[in-house]
Amino acid sequence: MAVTDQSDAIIVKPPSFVKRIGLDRAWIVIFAGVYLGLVVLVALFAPLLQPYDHAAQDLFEIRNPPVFMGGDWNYILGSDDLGRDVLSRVIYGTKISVVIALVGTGIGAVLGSFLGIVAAHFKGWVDDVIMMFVDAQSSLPFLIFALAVLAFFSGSFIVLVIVVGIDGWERYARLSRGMTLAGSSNTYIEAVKALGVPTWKVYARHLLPNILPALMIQFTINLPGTILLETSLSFLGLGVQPPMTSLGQMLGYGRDYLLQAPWIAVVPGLTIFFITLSISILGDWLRDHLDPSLR
Amino acid sequence: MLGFISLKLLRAIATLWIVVTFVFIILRASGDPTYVLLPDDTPQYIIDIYRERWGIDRPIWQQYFTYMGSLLQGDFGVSFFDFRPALDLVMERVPKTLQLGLVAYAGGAVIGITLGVIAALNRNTLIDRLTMAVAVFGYSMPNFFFGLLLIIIFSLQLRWLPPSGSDTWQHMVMPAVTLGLAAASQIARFTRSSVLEVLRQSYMRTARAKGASWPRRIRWHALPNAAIPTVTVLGFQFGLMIAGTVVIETVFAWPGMGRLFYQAVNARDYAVVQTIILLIAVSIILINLMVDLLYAVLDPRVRLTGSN
Repeated sequence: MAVTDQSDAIIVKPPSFVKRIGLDRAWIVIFAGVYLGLVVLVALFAPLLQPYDHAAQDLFEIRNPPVFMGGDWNYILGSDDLGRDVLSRVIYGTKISVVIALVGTGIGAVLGSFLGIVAAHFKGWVDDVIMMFVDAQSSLPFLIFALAVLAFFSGSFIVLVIVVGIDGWERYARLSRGMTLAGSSNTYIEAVKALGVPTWKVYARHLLPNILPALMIQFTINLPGTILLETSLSFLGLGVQPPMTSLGQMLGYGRDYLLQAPWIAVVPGLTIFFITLSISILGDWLRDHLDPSLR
Repeated sequence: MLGFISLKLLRAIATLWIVVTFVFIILRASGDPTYVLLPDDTPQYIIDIYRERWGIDRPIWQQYFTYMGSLLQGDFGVSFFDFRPALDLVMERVPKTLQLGLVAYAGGAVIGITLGVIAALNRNTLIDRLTMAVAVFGYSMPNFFFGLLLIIIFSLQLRWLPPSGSDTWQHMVMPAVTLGLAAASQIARFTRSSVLEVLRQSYMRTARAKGASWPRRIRWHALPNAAIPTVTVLGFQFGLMIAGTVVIETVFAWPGMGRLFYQAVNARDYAVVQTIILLIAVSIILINLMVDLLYAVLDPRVRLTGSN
């Protein structure tokens, strides 16, 4: 592969100026990693970190501004219209959003990859049927479908997790189907088959390890989308239901107080934004390092 | 070519049928709508009348065939609330959504492609980095949060733009920018990487070797080849855009189809929900068909062998 000669049509300037003003990648990637680590810690230890209960109301302390807007240290990130501590709610909401996103993406990944391998293994009509569903899934924006299902099954948490999980299955299915088809024609797979290894073992021990890295990358590509799906649904009032809360739901609630108390919406909004931003940055970095041809 | 199109059409119809059937099953499986529509203390005989009136008392397969039959005759059912044909209700809202969607989509596509090409041609320079930084920002930003930020800054603080409604062009600025941002970012990233991919190809070196000038190489060798993957992402963005209108129209109280969908879903208005979903699926399938045809136009290999 002639990847070395990229300069035939363009002049590549050395990125010294870029580096000087600090737009270089490295520290951004580190920052993203640290932020995500923090989010995971918060999600794991949420109950220990919350200064107050996320649902505890104090009607004498409503709409206290956060510290950086002149508030006091009792409510570092302010309090909302019912006197609930915004920091405690963000911590709890982060936990719920992260759990839904991880479990959801996991369901989609396992289901999709499985169906993709099944389609590639059986070929014929099984393949046709699965691919027809893949087509159908891609012809309807998932948010539309999710809104309809959640509204009609009013507010069940389990249904929410399942719906979020279904999102993106078709991408895993396409990917694993393609890779399984390509992988099966490899000589080492044929060799293992010829040795009489049972089919499930061929898939589990020889094929899956080969397609796993690609599926992992797909996982990081899907994750921000999954978080945005849950937060959008909760923002619209059809996702996580009170007294439980998520970042999106807080934002939806804060929408009514944009003038008097903008921090109720802005704090969870920024939290979501930095999560999706960090995952995208890390995902990009990961892809660049796993695919040397892009360097 | 004709066989290619008819095969795609057949698949499209099958896909549509799956979507309609699936949505029908999901909506009906969620339980009896009369419990939501009528107050708790409604006498049983009124519930019965209601159920008979709307045909919900019959077995689900019978409802399905009735529904499919009337769909084929162009009857999309009647709204539970207005008692008006669902299709009329939806069609009234479509122009507003098209107005917003087209501005955002066209703007997003033009800005995205331009920035993507510029970034790729200036690879690793400050322009490239800045463009990509903005693009990463754009597609990581939740659209509903971006919308609220715009409202806080431009409506509540600066008082430049109205936060809701659709009467003047000023009303359109914030929803269109919010909707277009994500599309532009994705398109810019994708265009950049496909242009870079093309620049690496050996035919680019051949073109240079035979003495073609830089503008000529870019205009006639690089861009047409980079257009093929870009068309894919344009088609893909269309679906995301429609999903976006539901959120954005709700945030900015824009009286379009997306907001109607949100209201209908919350009110469990079967006919309206199904009609909108059907309409969206049809338009996305049509867009995908057009993308396939565009492939055939752009790529002679597809045109000649009939597959991609």
